[in-house]
Amino acid sequence: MTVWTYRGWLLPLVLLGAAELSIRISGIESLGIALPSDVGRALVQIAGDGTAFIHTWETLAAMLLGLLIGGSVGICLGIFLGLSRLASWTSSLAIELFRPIPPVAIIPIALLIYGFGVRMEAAIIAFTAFWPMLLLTQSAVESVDRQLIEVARVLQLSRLKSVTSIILPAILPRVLTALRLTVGIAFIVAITTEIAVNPLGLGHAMMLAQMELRPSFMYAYVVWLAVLGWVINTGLLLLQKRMFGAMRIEVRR
Amino acid sequence: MSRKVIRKAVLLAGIVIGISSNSAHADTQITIGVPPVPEFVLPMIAIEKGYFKKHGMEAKIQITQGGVAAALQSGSLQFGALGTPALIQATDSGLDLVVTAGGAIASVTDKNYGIVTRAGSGIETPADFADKKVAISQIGDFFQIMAREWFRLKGVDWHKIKFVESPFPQQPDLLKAGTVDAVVTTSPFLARSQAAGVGDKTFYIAADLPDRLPPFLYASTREWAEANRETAAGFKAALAEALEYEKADLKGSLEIFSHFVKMPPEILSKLSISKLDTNVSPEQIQLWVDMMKKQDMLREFKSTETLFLK
Repeated sequence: MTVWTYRGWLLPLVLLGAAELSIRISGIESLGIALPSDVGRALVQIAGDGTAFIHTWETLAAMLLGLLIGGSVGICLGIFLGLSRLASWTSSLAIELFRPIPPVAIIPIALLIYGFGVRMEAAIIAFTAFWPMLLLTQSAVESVDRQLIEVARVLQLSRLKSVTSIILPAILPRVLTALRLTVGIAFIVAITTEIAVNPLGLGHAMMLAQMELRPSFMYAYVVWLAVLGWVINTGLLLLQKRMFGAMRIEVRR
Repeated sequence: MSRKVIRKAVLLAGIVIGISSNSAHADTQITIGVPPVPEFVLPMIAIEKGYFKKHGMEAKIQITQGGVAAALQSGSLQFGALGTPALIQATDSGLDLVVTAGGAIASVTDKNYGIVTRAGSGIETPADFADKKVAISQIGDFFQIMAREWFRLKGVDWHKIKFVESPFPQQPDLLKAGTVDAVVTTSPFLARSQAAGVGDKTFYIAADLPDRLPPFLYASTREWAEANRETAAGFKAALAEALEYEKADLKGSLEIFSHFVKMPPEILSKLSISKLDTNVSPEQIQLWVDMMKKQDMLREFKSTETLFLK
């Protein structure tokens, strides 16, 4: 470990320093920009007094609830459509018609039904998560080795039993990859919903800081969001690696 | 195993949904949605000074950035501050809302908002605005309607003006950078736009617009207001008491405002509050309807009388 290890930080730090200097020298006054040092102070404050963590929890709770609902319904239907040619054929047009609806377009409807709060945001995220989970699960089921399904038939397993002990384990890695992609989209949609109308979570905190004329706090939340996005993605990658690892061991046994 | 997990998940989802819907409303619990702007200080005063309590209400402020009409309809809010044109439009598109109290009142002598031109834009008269880019806080909001009406009165075809959307705080920057030729702005951003080297001429459009325009008001759904007539009347009475306090003590009012909205002290100390009024009449709202009709913004709006509880 030498200084050389941290060379990647050089460019961002130089850029931040340049921004700090140029704002100070030009004496510019704006409600839209903030000194990097002020942003740093704001970041320490929101992390220190816990507000950032509270807002993070609000956003993540809505995300988790939405993912749970939309994801599980998507997986179940995906398995069903993957197994039944007839069902997949009948529903394909409907899916292609509804799937392209941008999740943010249903914000007004969700707001009318659920009002402000977790439920409205979770509903939008459930809608968001449903489609990729449905399609990716369906394609995962369709690509399950035919021989495995033959095995289920030979063993005379019931429908449910063959799904739980043959199909599910076979599609798990692909479903996890689908989930990782979906979480990324859900995160974007959650923040967008909060920026647009929903008065909770990190998106709202960011908008509020802008409206309260505290740009340093607005940027502090932007930085916080960037870190959070990175943490979520890295966490999921690690989780996936772990589970794949475990599966490999199981197979070897 | 997996069935157990699913059952647990469904149960958990049910609990979370149950918790969040539980807090909807007890009889006198009210939630009031307002944007974080000092003109909406009255409900904040009424909370801190106990005026709502006196009228049998347990009130809570919800700072919003939009969606008030839909939030009223869904029951998240019992009272919400709406721009008068937004209320008219929401009603026009089928939401059944009523006015529960007036908010503010504009006057022809107002100098706290207007159109500021960019230094070097070459705009001298209203006619010079043709083909120019004008920043507006929100497309379709009351400032744009007022600006368009003002251009109409000045004989300028507003279709020829390019309105672009930008939040108030960013407008002085856009003006300085030359991205736009003028901004429709209000205090405390007006002074920043007028600063030397940024802005040039200011057109105080209020002088030419109808007197006693109500820019915003407080609304509820008709269903809720009819079922809670006493509370709705108490809300207006409490705001009227808060108005007396605000008139007598601007500093104290801004202090209360700062408990709900965390503005930096140096900005807070320079804030002013435009003239507030808790009374509003159908005739005053009609002034907006007339302007909006000329701008083709309404489809089947019937009468401003229907906006009030009988």
